[in-house]
Amino acid sequence: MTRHKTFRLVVDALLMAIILLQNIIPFLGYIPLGPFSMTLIGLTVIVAGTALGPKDGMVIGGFWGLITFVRAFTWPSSPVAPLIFTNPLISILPRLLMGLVAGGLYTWGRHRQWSQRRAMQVAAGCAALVNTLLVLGLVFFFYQTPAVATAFGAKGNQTLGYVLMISLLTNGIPELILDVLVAPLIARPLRNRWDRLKA
Amino acid sequence: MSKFIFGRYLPLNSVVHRLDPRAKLMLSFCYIILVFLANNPLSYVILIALTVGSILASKISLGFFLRGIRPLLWLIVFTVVLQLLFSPVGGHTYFHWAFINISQFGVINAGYIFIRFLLIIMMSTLLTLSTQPLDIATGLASLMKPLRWLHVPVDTLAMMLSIALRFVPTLMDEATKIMNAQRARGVDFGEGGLFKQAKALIPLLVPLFMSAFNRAEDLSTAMEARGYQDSEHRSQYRILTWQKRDTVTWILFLIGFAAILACRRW
Repeated sequence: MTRHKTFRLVVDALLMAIILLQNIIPFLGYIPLGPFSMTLIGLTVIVAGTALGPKDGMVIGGFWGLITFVRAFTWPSSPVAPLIFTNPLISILPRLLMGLVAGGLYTWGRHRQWSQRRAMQVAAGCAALVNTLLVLGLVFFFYQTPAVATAFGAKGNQTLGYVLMISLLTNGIPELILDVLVAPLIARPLRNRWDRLKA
Repeated sequence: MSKFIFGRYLPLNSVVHRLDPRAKLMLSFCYIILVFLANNPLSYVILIALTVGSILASKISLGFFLRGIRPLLWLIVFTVVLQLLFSPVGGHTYFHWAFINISQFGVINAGYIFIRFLLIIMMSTLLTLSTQPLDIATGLASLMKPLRWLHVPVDTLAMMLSIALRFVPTLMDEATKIMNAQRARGVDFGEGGLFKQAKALIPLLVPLFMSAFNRAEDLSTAMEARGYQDSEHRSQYRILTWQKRDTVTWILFLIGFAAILACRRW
């Protein structure tokens, strides 16, 4: 029993290392799209969720969110990061829930006798959607309330909100497609190993 | 990539390097909060004095430092320009065209954002330059101790953090190796449109994850063979000690912090 507990701890740690790596090497973490970029880090969170389970998805997703949060202050990943990701609700919550959704939906789909591939695709798509929509929604929500905007030191107004939303929308869709196509390729062999180990 | 100095460690033997990592982490944290609280020129002068003083005390040359944070500068400038152009009307308006609106209010705000992020980036870069990653992990773990009362598995998290940090360089080497191996087989990385680029990443990502999984299996087997059972009932090899210089640094910073709060416009 401890056998698979230790393994789980180490696997989570190594997935965290991959996320750190994707943050350090831009090539592994982001594909540039003009001034903005789409990220491959979400892919790692989806893999963690679908290959290991919702709990691990949340750990890895939360770790990504925490890094996004700290990076917004110390080492911004994009020009909009200092404006929006300095709010822990926007940086951490969507990533946390993304991992949860990836893991939860995969389990749910398998219970409904879906094929492994299909369950993984649905889980990946929904997780990417949850992340994008939550970031978008929370940005919209917070930039409507001047009190929060002032607290950031940023006087957000309607125009700024639209600019942010358009950029997120143009990122969200390619990211969704990428995650649906790639996540099952990575997650399937890992899931099979994991199931065998637990059995 | 190689131009970034953030996150790197520069082995020197200065007072700042020898400080307790816990003291440095806490100081950086308080410093960030204070940067957001400062709201008039005088308080920023004090903040700049504190920052430059700390950098000088670390014996890292100021030129090296400024060159290292230059790649980040354009990101901040972009943010500042966004702020400048799309601020709501307030104070004297200098220029107005369609939805672009440069006002006195916007200029002041943009200036504040610029200084704030520059200062925070300088201080946090100093933190990573003068502290070894494993020391940061140990320090963080020790600072998280109080969370134990909320049943957060602090020791397990600390264990995971130190394993993760240890494996970043290993996985980095591995990624480069896989990339070169795939290049030899004819994969072009970083070329073509979005989807072509993404497709080229598959033969890199799948082996990278698989090898991480294999490594995890080996490492957990090796850990258990050496008697690892859980993170809670262990003693420690790396023990942090709070020394006189930590207290002195804290007192110096507290004087600075009090001065900033005193001259802040409430």
